[in-house]
Amino acid sequence: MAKRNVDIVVIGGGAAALAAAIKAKEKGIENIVILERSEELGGILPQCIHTGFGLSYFKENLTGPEYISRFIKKAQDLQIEYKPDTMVLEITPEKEITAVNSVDGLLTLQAKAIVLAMGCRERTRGMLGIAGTRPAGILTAGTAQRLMDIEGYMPGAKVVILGSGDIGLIMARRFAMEGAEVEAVVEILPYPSGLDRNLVQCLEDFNIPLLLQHTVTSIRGSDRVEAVTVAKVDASGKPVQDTERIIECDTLILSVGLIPENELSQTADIALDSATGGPIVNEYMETSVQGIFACGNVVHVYDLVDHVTQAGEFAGESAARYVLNQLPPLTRKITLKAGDNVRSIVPQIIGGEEPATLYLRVKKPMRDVKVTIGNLTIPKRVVKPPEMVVVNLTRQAIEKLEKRDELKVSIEEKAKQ
Amino acid sequence: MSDKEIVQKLKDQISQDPELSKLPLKISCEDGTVHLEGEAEKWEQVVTLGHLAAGVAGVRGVVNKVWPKSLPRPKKKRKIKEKASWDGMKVDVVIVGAGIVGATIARELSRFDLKVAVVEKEADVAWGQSKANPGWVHAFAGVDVDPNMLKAKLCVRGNAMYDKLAEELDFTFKRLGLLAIVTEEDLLPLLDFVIDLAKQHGIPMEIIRDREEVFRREPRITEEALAALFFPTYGSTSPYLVTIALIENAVANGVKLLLDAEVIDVMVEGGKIKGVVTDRGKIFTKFLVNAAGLYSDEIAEMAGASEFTIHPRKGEMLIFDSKHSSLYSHNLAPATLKSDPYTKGGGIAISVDGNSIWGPNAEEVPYKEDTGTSREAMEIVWEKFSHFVPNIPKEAMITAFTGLRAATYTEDFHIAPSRKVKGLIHAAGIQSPGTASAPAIAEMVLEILRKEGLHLEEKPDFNPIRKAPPSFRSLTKKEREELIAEDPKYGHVVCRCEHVTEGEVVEAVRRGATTLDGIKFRTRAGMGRCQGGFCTPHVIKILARELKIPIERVTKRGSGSELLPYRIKALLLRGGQVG
Amino acid sequence: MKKKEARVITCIICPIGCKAKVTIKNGKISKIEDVECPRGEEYVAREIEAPVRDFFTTVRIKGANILVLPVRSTQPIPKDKMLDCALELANIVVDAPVEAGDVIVKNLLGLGVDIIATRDMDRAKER
Repeated sequence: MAKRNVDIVVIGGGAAALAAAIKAKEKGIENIVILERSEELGGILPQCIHTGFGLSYFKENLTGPEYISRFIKKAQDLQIEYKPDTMVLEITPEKEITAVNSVDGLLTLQAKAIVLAMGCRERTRGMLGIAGTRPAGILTAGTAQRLMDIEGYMPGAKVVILGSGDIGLIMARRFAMEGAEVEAVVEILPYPSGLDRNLVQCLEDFNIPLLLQHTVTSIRGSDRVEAVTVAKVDASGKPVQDTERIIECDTLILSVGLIPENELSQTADIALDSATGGPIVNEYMETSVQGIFACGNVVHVYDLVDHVTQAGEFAGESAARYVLNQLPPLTRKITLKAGDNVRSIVPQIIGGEEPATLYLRVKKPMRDVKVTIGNLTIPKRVVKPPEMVVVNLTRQAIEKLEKRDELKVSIEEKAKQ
Repeated sequence: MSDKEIVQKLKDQISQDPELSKLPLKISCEDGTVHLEGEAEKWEQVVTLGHLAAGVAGVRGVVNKVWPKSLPRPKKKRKIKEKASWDGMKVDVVIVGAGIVGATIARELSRFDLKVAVVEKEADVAWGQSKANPGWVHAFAGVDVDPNMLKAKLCVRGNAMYDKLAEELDFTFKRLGLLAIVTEEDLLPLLDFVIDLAKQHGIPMEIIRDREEVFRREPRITEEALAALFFPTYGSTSPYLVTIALIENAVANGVKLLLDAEVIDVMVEGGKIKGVVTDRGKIFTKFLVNAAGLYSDEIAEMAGASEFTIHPRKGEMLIFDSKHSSLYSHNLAPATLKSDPYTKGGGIAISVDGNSIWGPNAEEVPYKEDTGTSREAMEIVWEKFSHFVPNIPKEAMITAFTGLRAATYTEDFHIAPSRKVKGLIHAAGIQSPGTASAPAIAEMVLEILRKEGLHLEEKPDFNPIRKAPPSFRSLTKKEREELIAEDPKYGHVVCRCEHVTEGEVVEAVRRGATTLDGIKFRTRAGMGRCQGGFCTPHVIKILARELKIPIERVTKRGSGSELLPYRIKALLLRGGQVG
Repeated sequence: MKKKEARVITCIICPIGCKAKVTIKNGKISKIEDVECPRGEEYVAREIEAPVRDFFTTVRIKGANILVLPVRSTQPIPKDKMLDCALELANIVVDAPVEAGDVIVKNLLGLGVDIIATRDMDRAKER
């Protein structure tokens, strides 16, 4: 098949991708193609059947399918072209995209701009090195969610969940609501990783025990999971001698972290940030390769889809401006580095003439803090690891920043002076 | 030595050991096979007794029934199955076990005008040791292995047969060679002795005394490298893919493959093989080849022909991301003054898919089903090899897995006709270097069968060529386009990490896969970084569709391992309770 | 009940997550402490007196490409009725096609809320 010229190719079809494509279309770009590996648009949202989406973006309390349907409908109304069941195999720094599907066969697209919106994948049992056998019944939470709430099958009847992040908590509730016994949620840290609302509505409501400072040390069962052993851990996360006990179950659900899915980004030699696992981007959400933008979970993992939509719109707008030759270069280039209590910052590079929004992840929960960026301080009431910290910087604030190539971003308690 | 002398010699040795002499044991010897019975206190003692017995001159094999009194006996879980349509079948040869050994023998036999059946207890081939090892095709059995041992001779012979085999059967075999890295100064003056040992085994070897040369060949090797030994004939392959290729060729040439059929008894009449009883039916035959791996001693016992006992030796392996593995171009191993005489010590293998596989370590275990990984073993393997390859970080580890070596107490292969039952041929005790030896083992078994009276008439229409299924990720752009044009299913990628297409999954089912693991091993779907996170729902649906079974019956590795046992609402409707 | 009871409720209205100390005398709330805002107080009181929850689950669907349709209640339902609602909906099988917003069950269990589909689902194409 001959190479096809496209203005903007969006890789992915979820929340970030749809927001980007819609915004780019609204900005006047006609020739847009969305390439999505699943059979339908929506990304992860169609399987998130719970509420809590759209609280800030729509000021409504929607379920995942309801939230994303609005964007899918908008994209369809705007007649944005999309190809489902299409896998992108490779992208080059020259913005040539190789993809494949059953209908078109091999596709080669030459894009003026690319928006990366591939989302993330889940951390696996193998990466954690959980010992034991390899029976049926071990699943990551996202895969279990797809199997239950899209395919319509239960992975098991007696469940242990490793990890108290939001996805694990939400699956605890789903399993309980579908008649399974959830024996425990096991969390290695001394505090839970998920939002308070989920601790109340997923665990407390269903009397599901939360084992803090514990981990699963091994899996038992030859053909099917029969039990897991859990043990208490010390401050460094290592199992404590003689605290092991067996919990009988037929399913182990792993909710142990998300990793931005950047295998494709690497085919284009895009520079990645080891702190986020995603591309290093500037305030336009442009990566280290000119004309390749990124947004959503592929950049770093978000907790609210509302923020993902905003970031997607911003990246879409930037990509459109780029295609229209209206994207000004950054007047300065300030690299932001993570300082005290900051795990990661996006964007990693700022310095333009426009306002910018920073998204930070903190390492531990703190109250009454100040966020310091060089000489600039912004107060915050509460910061917690599961909740992304959003800092809006005005033009003036950016202009007033110290004239340095690198600035540290840290978070300190105001009391400590 | 006579049987009586053997027993006396062994008793003398045991009496000299303060721990072992206290154990209540019954020792006898029949026609060179030592029989040990009694109780031990711990498993190590059982293994030591077995090795002591094997070390007595004149001993052909050791049947070791000694068991630690504190350990529960292994329990056999028998599945109730329906009788198969082949119940009552009559064949010329039955091969028990569809691992690489059974498969090479089956393929060899398929050259001749014979009715052959391969009986395998698992739902797919190669699920014993053949999938649980790093894929070395050893050049030789090891520096401290007696070159007169059967495994030493068959290894060198089999290794040389791999190029032709790989070409005929269309599997990947790479002769990368092995660099054994010397980091211990004490070893330097001993290197010349290794040349003699290599000569005795009949293999080429090169000593690289110049440090700079070592770094030239392997730039990212540890700074501690002082010298190296290079064994050019070392190779790598994927033993389970080799097994699959062999079986496909054997089946194409008329061999019957009977999966999910466990041999539960051997029929013997008048000292001769009459057939086997499986949990799905009987097969009548005059010749029974025992290639049952870990369970080969049990097959022998069922025939009333115990001549050896298998003591499983567990090995843990770690697999690393192929991204980091591409930094090294040879298989690697530490050259050390060895501490364990029974294992080569493992190494750092480069799999044919480009992953780095470290290990295995060695641990004697009592149970044949002890396939679980352990944190301790993972740490041991990490500690042992990480400093040799400093550019591979711990985060690059994808997963860990274990294998169990089917070791006899003589620590050699037991390939011989049974001395007690006519028509029973053992191809047992095949531990490392089993993969390399397999083609030579088949040759040897063929000769034994011929001597034992099996009539071998070559088939004029035997076709030695087998073509592998297409692998989308390895094809050129043009090949991909042609493939998709032929079958659009090759345009639907279902495994993101390894770029496996629906077409390949369907083809794997056509070639015999019926389980998720079967698809995984044949196509690589599920072996990449996300370990099946994306592809599992897709593959389950394709399996259900192609096998025409409901999704609830799709299994990971055979019945009992159903992946999605309940339809949604089934638990709610049955239990009537929530939470 | 002439008992005096103390309970701690985590407020979930905003990220601060105040841990409210609630004193209950004779079965009624007598005091709420450690809550920073009136919205929080309102939530805490509700949690004690008549806790409600958003209700969402799936129902089986026939004739579509997938086997389940996600649904939700139009209004929050009493917390202690969640499990009954789930059981009630387990018996239902809906036919495709369905549109988002379609009422699947009116006035579920007489609670005064409807159960609606949260997405469109087309009929599967005939093979």
